[in-house]
Amino acid sequence: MLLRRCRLALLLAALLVTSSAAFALPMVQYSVTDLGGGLFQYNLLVDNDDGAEGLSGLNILHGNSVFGLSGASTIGEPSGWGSFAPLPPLIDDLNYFSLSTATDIPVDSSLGGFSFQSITDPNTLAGDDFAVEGIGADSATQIDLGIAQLLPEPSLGVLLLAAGLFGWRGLGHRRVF
Amino acid sequence: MAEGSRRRATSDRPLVSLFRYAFGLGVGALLALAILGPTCGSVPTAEPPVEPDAVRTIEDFVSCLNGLSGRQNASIADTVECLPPKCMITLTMSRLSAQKACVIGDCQLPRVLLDCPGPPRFRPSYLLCPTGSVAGGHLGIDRVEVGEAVDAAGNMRMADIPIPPGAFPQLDAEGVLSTTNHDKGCNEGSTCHTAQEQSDLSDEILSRPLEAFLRPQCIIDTEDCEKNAITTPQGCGLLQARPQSLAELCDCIGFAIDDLGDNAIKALPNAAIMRNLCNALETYQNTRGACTMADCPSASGPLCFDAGAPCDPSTGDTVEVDARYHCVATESDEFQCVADCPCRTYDLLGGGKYLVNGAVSMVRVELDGLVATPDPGEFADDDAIMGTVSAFNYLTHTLIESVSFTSLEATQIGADFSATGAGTALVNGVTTNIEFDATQTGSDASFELRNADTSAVLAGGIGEDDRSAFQLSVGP
Repeated sequence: MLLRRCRLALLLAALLVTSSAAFALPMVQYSVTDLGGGLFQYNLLVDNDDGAEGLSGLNILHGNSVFGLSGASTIGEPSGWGSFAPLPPLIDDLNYFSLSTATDIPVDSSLGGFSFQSITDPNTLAGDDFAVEGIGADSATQIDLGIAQLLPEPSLGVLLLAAGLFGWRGLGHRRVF
Repeated sequence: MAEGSRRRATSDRPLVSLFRYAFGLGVGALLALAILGPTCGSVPTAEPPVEPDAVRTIEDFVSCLNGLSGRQNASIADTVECLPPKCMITLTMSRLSAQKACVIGDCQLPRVLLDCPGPPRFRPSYLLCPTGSVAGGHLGIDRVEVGEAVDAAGNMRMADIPIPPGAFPQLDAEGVLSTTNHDKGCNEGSTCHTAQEQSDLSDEILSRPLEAFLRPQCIIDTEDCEKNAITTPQGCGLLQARPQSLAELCDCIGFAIDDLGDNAIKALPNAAIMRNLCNALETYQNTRGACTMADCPSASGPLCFDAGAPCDPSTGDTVEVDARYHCVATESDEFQCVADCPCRTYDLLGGGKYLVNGAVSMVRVELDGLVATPDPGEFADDDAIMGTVSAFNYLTHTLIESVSFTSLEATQIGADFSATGAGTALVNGVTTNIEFDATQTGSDASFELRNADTSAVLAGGIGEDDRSAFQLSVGP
């Protein structure tokens, strides 16, 4: 029984490590705060984990067509960053940019503080609605960051870790008795 | 009690009689005034002055000016209040006039020509040069020269109105006219644009249109779409003329007067009048002039039936005098009475993602304004260009923002267009002269923002498909 539990814990640990490695690419994660009255605040975190170069830009490709953003919208940036709102009907993007190399997002680090308020319910997002791209800090070229991911609450990793710890704790109790 | 009352009544009789006598005398005097007043002229019956928006003729202008009569510490600058709306301003450094332009210190001090739509076409002019051009004992800067079209060819009756500094004078409308009895201002010595032609109806001298005497190389700024201002310094007689707006002229005068040191302008006894006149004209240009109001000269108008004839924009009726409105065919195959130099709205919008060898620049453009142009496919605006341009070059981390344009030119065929502008911007926080180009050809867009002093490209590129576009809209 003890051996079986040891194997299970090792398997969970391996899964945790494997799953982390599988997501070790630059990506954008987001959470949503319901502000009431049909208004939602989207909070974005850019994770440049294992990126090829630093990031000096972030673009929300469907800023107007999906999120209804325009020059009148409330848009927040991290310190040292600026933004250009979408200009409907011609320009759909919301563009963020780092004002100096000192505020770029280096490889293997992350930066939060990107936000916008929208009447779009996050539960209605589908397909590539939340497509995002980065801009390389060295090349100034675009870097596909795929689809922004909703931060799991609690995250899968945390759940697995908790399960593993619970298993070890159970083993410990059995030994005492 | 009754006896007392009687006694009081008896003693009051002389007083009552006196009141009756005085009442009768007052009524009689009033009756006499009512009957005799209009004939003896002792009761003033002055007409109210013509309102500035209603000024169309020399007499209207003088009437409006007489509404200012008696104003203390007045000057020629006060007369700007009486200009009619929608007048186009042209600045000329020409000295071939009874109002001769000059240069003092660093400041160009031109003649300011106004061209106001009619009917009839009404053409006042001022002089910012504070020296010389004396006529009738008055400096050129202290006189308004006025022309009023009398026929379809634009020949004018003219007046010269002196407004010396001090208490604003009462003017005699006939006394300011150029007639065979008294030449005025421009007509003095037959050196200006008079044809010395006598009017059939009076002793007035008629003058030829001003255009025959305008030297193109001397026009330093114009709102008139039938004229072109110089774009580079040009020889203008003995002077060197350079492009300059009225606002820039006023800044030059103001800086010289406010300068702590000595300078030639500051030393002039009438420097303050020069500044006040310039500022008044600039305010007029920005608030009541051509292309500053919602009802500025329009590219559409009432139906008319006499193709090519001058017309009244309020009715479409044919008129016999030059009005700067003509009856022309429209796209809808009907004839309308439209302005020769109509004012149109324009909007330049767009931006998006632009690439140079894969490196990204982002831009946003939101510009609009009013411009006088007979052709919606081509315009040049150098006044009150609203809006801004913002751009970011990711390769150099260069932010260009708060762009303020001083000029914008565009040509358009269908949805395709090219636009070029110049102005100042904050480039990473530093004020910089910039130049801006944008083009849209089919679905292809491109733009470039350059440092105007070094020609270095600050941001720009070729637009990425579906993520870049510019759009230019010009009013009909």
